[in-house]
Amino acid sequence: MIRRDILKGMALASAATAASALVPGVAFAGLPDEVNTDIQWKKTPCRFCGVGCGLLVGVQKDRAVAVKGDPACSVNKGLACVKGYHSIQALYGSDRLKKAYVRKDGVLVETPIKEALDLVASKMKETIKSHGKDSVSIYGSGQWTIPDGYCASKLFKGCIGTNNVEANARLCMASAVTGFLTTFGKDEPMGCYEDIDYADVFVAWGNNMAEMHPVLFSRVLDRRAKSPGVKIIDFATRTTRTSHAADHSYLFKPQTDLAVANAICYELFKNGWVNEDFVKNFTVFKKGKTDIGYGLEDGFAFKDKMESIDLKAYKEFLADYTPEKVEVISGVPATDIRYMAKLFGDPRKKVVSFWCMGANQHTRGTWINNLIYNIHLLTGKISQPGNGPFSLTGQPSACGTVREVGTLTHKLPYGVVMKEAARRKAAEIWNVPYENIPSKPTYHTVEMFRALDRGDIRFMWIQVTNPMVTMPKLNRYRPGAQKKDRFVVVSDIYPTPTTEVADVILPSACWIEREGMYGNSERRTAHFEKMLQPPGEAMSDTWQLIEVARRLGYGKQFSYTEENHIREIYEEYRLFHMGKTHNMAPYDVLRKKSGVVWPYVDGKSTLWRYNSKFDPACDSSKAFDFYGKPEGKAFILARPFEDAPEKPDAEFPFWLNTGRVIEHWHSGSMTRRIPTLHQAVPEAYVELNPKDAKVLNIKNGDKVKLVTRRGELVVPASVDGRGTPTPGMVFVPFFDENHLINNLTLDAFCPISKQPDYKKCAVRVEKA
Amino acid sequence: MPICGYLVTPRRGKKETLQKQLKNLPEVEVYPSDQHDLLVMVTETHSKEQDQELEHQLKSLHDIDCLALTFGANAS
Repeated sequence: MIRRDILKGMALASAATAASALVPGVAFAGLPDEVNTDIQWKKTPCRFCGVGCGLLVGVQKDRAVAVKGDPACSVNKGLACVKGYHSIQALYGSDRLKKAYVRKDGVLVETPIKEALDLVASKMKETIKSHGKDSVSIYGSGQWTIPDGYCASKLFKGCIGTNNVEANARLCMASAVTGFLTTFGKDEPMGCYEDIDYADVFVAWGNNMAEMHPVLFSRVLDRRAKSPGVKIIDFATRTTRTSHAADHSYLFKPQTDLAVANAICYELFKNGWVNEDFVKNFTVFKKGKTDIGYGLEDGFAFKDKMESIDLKAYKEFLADYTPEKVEVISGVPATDIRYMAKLFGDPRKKVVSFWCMGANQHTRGTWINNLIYNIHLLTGKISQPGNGPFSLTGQPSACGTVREVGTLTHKLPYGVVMKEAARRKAAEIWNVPYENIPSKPTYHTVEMFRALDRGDIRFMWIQVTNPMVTMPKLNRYRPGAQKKDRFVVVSDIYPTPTTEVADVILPSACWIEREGMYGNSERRTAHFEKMLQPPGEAMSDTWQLIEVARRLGYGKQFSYTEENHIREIYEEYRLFHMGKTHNMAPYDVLRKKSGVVWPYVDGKSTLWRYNSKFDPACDSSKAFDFYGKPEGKAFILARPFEDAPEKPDAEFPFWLNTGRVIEHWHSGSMTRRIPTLHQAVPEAYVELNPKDAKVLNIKNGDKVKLVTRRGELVVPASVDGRGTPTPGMVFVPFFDENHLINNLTLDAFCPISKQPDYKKCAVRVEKA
Repeated sequence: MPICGYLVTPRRGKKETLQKQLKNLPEVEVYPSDQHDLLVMVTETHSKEQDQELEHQLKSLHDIDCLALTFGANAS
């Protein structure tokens, strides 16, 4: 460093120090690292939800010591939520797994990781030899980095030759995927978070954004604060913090969102609010099968069949959904339904719909996704700044890894296993024989755990997820995983109820202890470098997969170098998505930026897909081109209201609804080890409506016994707490492994997406 | 010639505007605080005339509320 540089550094350091004396804690993210004391600030996407906030992590002497929002990241513009600010503490829990463990005579014994990896590989070989290749499986996660998921898919689908690859994102956004595919033929939202800056109306469909996506919700609130007239509509089954912040909160009976969405469409036609030119030029009307079942039995199979219908038939279908009829079904007053329809129908207003688990964890999840799209298509409010349907995700790479890499049984990194062209492309890039990749999907997540219980699957490798907390109907699937002759490998960073059923535990490197990429809800791929050494023998999930692949004899396909393997894997993966519809930014671009939105064409992100003003993949002679469908026309789908499979009755008179709280992330294995967050919400509870609590003589803090057909649980009551269910419903968060609400839930799922419904089953409530 | 460090307080609501104005001066590097209305600035000039001109330009910026010199050195 020359003298002038040293002097400039001293000048900046002196000014920054003066600022610190004036305002303790003041931060200057843009300052060169050498000026900002000895803390090195490095960019990363947040480890938690699917919003994908950019964070700057301060690293000092191989320890993460501070976190702040990254002002250079357009997602959060320097903000972070309570989980984001505490995220690095998740690395330093006192019971962090640092060594591998192997179960010997029923006891988990500390074992060198190389020996444990040898055992994993030999057990896989032995299981395949004895029971066939479809007896081994991998169950990953929307927290898998892109390279993790890519290696898992390549190993299992390409090399071993089984489609037994699933991920927990099946439990959180599979209905969004099938919704997008059935309506548009292409997955993932067409817009981006910038829509928030232009919208006049925000409709949250069963979506408690204030707690689940707080940074995005703060952007929504900011938009309203700066633009009088902007409205926030909360459409939900439970009063939450989102409801309190909204201009209007409309409560509907569980499952009847289907009817209300159709009633909105009915009103659009009745009042002449349909954008006829848009509908004529860019959509077609279709219907699918009805009375489609709930997947409650093993081996349940369903295949939808689309039929064309005309506008007249579609209007006739809607005639069953007048606001007055739907008021009876849903409990939402007809005047409120009309008001919502008017907001969508007003040509001067730009409208964004947001939804997440309320719509997706639904036995008709695909349908409610379709119906939200119908509203936006009928009004032409789509694929434009400020206008669009936007499904949110709950995990940092549910989109990037599970949806884009395709870590689901039917998927490949590009296309589906059923398509020969997709299999040929994968075989070529993976350097495996084309015949290796089976053409039939095997087990979706619920069916995969059923297969483990039945014995059709004998070996399961679980990475970055905690299914013994998060699977529905756990009272079946936990004993299933523990049966004799089942072999379960779990890669994780902490002991969990899932490691309790493991035969081998592999200690994983967490987040910034390794290099990787996540992909968020707005198609943004964000890179993070390895900032810290993982503890003990902990190893990234990517490298664990590579080590096992090599032991299985696939060294040729997994010849990545240890120092550059993330770059090599990502650049190989990128080959799948070349072209204007899904091109991904090169590795070197990702390293420099706080995330890049795909399609990335000619050095530029495409922010609104299907609109030829913004999307170079469109036919430029048309204003809109839904190029995932024939003739570029999206499907408006006639999807009826069908009831839930298990409703309250005399024996089980309440609805049971489950979900999350802002402090805890999913199964709580990380956030429960962060003292501030744990102390804020130390245990699960049951929310009751005050009227129900009075009838049952239950007061705040009383012990309450919940009983369903599958199990029972005792938890403390929360009456008039942060959330209030409608009368006749109770709500329990699922983060607490000591109070496993999923022992009680039902494993019914949407027959199209195969995503379970955690929001609706029947429960009895007793004072304990 | 001089290298100087400054702590800059902008007038209320003018942080971003001031940052842009300072960035337009070739002798100046400026870094905003992430969460407060403060900027740190380093200036580097190569002649007495340039130094005087910079001083004149800084004095003409009405969005500066307070300019505190924290460091100065002659680099020649």
